[in-house]
Amino acid sequence: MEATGNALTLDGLTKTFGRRTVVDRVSFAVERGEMFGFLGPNGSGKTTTIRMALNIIRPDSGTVSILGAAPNRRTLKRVGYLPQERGLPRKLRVLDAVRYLARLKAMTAADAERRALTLLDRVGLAEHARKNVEDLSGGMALLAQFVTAIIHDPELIILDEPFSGLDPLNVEMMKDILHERQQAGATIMFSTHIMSDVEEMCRRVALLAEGRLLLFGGLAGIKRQRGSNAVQVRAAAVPGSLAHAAVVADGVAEIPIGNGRSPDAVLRAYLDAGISVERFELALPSLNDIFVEEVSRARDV
Amino acid sequence: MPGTSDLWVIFAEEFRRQIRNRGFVFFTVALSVLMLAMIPLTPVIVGLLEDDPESAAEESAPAGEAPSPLERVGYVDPSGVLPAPGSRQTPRPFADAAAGLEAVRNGEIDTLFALDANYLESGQVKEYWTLRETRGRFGGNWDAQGAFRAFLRQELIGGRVPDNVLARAVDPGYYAHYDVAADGAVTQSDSLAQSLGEFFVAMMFAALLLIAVVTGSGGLLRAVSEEKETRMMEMLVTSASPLSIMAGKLLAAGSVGLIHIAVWLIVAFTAVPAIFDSVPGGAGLSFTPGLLAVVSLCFLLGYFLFSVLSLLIATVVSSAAEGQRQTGMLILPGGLPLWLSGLIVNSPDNLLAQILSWFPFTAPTMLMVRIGGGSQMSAGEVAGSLAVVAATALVLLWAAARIFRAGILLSGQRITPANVWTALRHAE
Repeated sequence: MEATGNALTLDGLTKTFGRRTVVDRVSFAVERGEMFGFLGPNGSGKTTTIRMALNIIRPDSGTVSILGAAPNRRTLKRVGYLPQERGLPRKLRVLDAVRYLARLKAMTAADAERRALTLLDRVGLAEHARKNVEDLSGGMALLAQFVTAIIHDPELIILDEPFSGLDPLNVEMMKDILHERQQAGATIMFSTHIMSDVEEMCRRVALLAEGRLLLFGGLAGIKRQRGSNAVQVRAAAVPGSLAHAAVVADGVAEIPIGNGRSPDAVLRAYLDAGISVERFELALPSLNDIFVEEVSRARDV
Repeated sequence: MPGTSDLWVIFAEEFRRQIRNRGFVFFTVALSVLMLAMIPLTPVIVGLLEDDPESAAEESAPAGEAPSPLERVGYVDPSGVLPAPGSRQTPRPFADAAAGLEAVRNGEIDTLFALDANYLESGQVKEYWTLRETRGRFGGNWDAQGAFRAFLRQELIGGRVPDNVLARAVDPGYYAHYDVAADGAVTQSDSLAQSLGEFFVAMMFAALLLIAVVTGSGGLLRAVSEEKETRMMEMLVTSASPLSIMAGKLLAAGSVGLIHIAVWLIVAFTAVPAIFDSVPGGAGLSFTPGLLAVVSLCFLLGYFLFSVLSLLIATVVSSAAEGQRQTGMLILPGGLPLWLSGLIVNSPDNLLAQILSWFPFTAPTMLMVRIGGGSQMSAGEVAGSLAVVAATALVLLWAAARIFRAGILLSGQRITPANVWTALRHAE
């Protein structure tokens, strides 16, 4: 294990196609054992960054360290990868395709067969194992390919938009499996633009837009750093002086602060109106709000 | 060593895929089974083809006696130069042309030869026959014509010369052919049987190369382009080096090519001579092992070249559908010599044939067509031409390896010269 304890370190990665810089000096690190969210809108450079991390394409500049080494063939055998635009050759049998990719990850034929059958059963594809890929639905084919990414118990799993195209039940199943892998010691990094998945699963994130890294770090810290622009108050009523500004949902009033209205002033208004307050807290911005704000700003630059 | 292991895994998977390919199964196994089945079937088919009025007449002849070609031939001799027929019935004499024609119309005879009244001076003979409908424009009445010509010779000089002189006059001789080379060396020419046999084998291997290219190399092209389109290739390159991937796939394609050639060689050595023997006039058709070795080499190097070309095309096409379309490109240059075979076989060493023998994508089939046509090209020319094929394959292999990784990025994009140029610029 490398001294920093990082499973993946990207340092100054840059890639240009023609005159367009797709990834511009991107640096971040994924710690061992964590579930890391890699965020960004469509076309932000996430997939290109992942491809460079996995040595599928070479960066113009910058370096990659993966599991403490350069991304060479030996290191990449310990990595699982699910590409964004997915599919397995249509004419291959599901079991053959999974076993083939497992063999390329240095598994023996017997182990590959046994593990493939176990995992296909785990994702509900046991009865489809001997069918051709073309006979599966899109979601089933995606699950089969997910199996190829984890079959060799990789130390690092990199998934590019893993949940797109799956129904909610299969999304939950995939999340469960990923949590199991994480508890077993694996590091997981996945890219997405679905913020709720990241808030649910990840402690740390990186946000990319227009090829540039906008945010990187712990999710809670990022939210705190952004500060609050509202307070949330659970009370029996809303004071008349704040009624025009408050948005009430499920008995909780969210009241914007700023422009001369401080959290203290809001609390004083409740007390002055004789309304008993059950809960009073600063509302941190949602990841979705941060995403929209940061990406919009990056596009305006 | 991980690289070696990856190569073996990729080879095994690709080989398994290719031999399960329906095209491979059909053209290798089914075609060979069909050829072997032709051994017992050919005499039956030949028998069916001969089931015409002439054959019927032959079949009615007494068992053990070969029916005479003059059996259903009549003649008229108003010149009176031929001796009186006496009791002879074959060919059947008629008093005049009208009676003979009536016999033709009635189906009593198939052919009537009417000598000119001034035959000795003019040599004119009119032939009336009924078999045009069954024999077509070029079918001809050669057997009856030849037999009647011999009959005329015999009748004209019979009794006037000794019998052995008469026999030679009727059948003047059997020829042995010798070639005199530019340096004056004299060698016996190939027999007609050997020429036909070698022509058949060479053309068969040229055609089979095209079939193998479509099924084998074309299958490789489609498989790789599909792997790119489905992003399977991205998963492969995170597990194995581009060189291992390409080498594994090419070795598999080469092994499939060897299986093609091995199966067809077995067929060539077993079925083809047996089929030759069953065809009228085909008995004795033969070919030399040397010819088989050269056409086999042409086949293998050609197959290797087109497999590498497939791989190169697959690295730059944008989708599996595009790969499917490009398969047609593979067969165009390889098929050109076969399309020109009518021209090449009659003049196997003409300038066009020589030029196309040095163009790598036409050379394998062109060499086979020329060899089938009895070309006098030197062993050095054959070796040089095949060396160009091999060298081109190696250069293409190098180019494919160079742009393999960059080519992955082209998936999903419309293929344009600019895209390909971009891929090349990002090559490593």
